[in-house]
Parts: sequence; structure tokens; C-alpha cells
Amino acid sequence: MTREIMHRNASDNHYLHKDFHGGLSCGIEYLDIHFGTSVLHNYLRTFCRTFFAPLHAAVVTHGLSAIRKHYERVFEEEAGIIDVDASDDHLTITVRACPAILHMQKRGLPIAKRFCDSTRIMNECLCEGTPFTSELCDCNPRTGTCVQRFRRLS
Amino acid sequence: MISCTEFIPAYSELFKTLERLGGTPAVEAFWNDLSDRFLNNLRDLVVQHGIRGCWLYWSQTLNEEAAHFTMELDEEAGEFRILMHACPSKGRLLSLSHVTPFRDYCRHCDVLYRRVLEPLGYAYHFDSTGCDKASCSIHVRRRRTS
Repeated sequence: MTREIMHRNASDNHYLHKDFHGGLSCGIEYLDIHFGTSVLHNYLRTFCRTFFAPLHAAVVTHGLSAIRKHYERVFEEEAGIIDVDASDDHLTITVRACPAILHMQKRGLPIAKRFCDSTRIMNECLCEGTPFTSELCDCNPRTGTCVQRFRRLS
Repeated sequence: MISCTEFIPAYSELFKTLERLGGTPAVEAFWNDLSDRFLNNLRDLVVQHGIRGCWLYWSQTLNEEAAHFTMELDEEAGEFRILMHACPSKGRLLSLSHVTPFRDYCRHCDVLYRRVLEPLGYAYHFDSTGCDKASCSIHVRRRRTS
């Protein structure tokens, strides 16, 4: 067949284009290489403070449960694998299969050296001005695993 | 993790950052780099399948992005069109009350794909007149060889 037509309404499909992880990775690497790491980090902070402002407001109101709900929804939607350990004062998210890393590996897309800084900075921004702090541990971009810890400041 | 569903606002913010750093040339330099490094799948499909490569590439991306579109392929005439009735990316940006989109967001679609397709022997036309309402069109035509 030499002539084809395809028509789709937005409701015909579910919005999930995982190649966008590769687009973010390219942007992170580009800023890091051409403008330096501090410019990259400033960009990530500006984005996270702006875009995640509603989630940050939920953290202020509801505490760490807002972050837990957010990540449970995101990892379920992207078919990631996480273990969650939570109380009112702490939240530990053990990422066993990061959908972003695994998708970029599968597609052969370049993974920026500082790709995981996006997670660290996002979590730091969510905790800014709240009684909580965050750290990103055991981050392994080769295996797509990490541990995201949040805890109440004493 | 920043979800792939949260990428578009991050992309828009990146363009704003680049413009602050070096004006329009800095934004365009990034788009050129992204086209060269990130669109190998489009390039490979068009090299392998000709104009049908456009159909194969956008069949996947536009469905994954849940776009409202009509796409037409005429292999004999060497033509491919996308009528984007509702772009999910621009639509998403316009729907966010707490995010201001990059002023020239839609032009990346003109730069990125043109840079892949023109060197392969295709004319590329991007009509952005409906971009403020999240609609646009793309027309790719195989150039005649003498």
C-alpha cells in the first residue's frame, strides 16, 4: 500500500513517551558540558521549584506522605519497581528498577553523567522550607538502582 | 525521578535557561545538538525506508504522546503530512497555570526535524500559525533528482 491515513484522538492513547527521559538526559549533559555543573544545577533547581510548587505545597501541608504518593504514582505509571518504608518522620524509597535508566539503556540512548542529579535536586527542592531533609544514596546509573531517603530534621 | 510525563515543562525551562545564557543562538545550538544526537531513530528509519520512515517514526511517537492528529503518507508522490489538531506538549504547557512556556517553544519542531530530513533529500515545511492554540502541521516532500 502506498497511501495511508491515520487519525487519532488524544483519548485513543495513554500519554507515556519514555524516550523523553533521553531528551532530559541530553539536556542535562549539554548544560553540564557547555556551561558547567553549577549552571546545570541552577537550571534543575529553577525547574523543580517552579514545576513542583503544587507538590511542595502538599509536602508543607501533609508531610512526607505527599512525596510517597507522588513517587508511588510515578513509578506505577512507568512500571518501575520500588520498596517503600515510611512513617510520619521518615520515608525511604528503594528503587530496584529505575524506568528512566532502564529505558535509556534499552533504547541505546546516552545517559548523562549527572542524570541522577535531577532526582537529588528535585527531592531537595521538595524539602526546602519544610521540617524535612533528603539524601540520594547508593545511586548506580548502571543498574538503575538507588535509595532516596527523607527524614524529619531533629 | 522526573517522570517522562513531566519532561515537557523541563524542556521548556531548559530553552528559557539557554536563552538567558546566550540568547537565541544558544537555544538553536542546543536544538542542533539534540537533533544530531537524539534523532538517530528518525534518521535510520528514513535512510532504510525512505518517506515511509517518517510514517514509522511518527506513528510511534505521536501515539505514545497521545496526540490528536491526522497523518498521511503517499509513497508514490513522496509526501508525508501531519496535521496536529492538538499537540499534547504545547497543550500541556498552556494548561499549566503555574508555568510560563518558553516564548518560542514550538520552533524546536522546525529545527530538529528539518536538520535530519533535508540532508537526506527531503523538503521540510513546518506551519506554526496555529501554535498558540497547540496546533500545527508538517509537510515532508521528497525532492526530485535531476
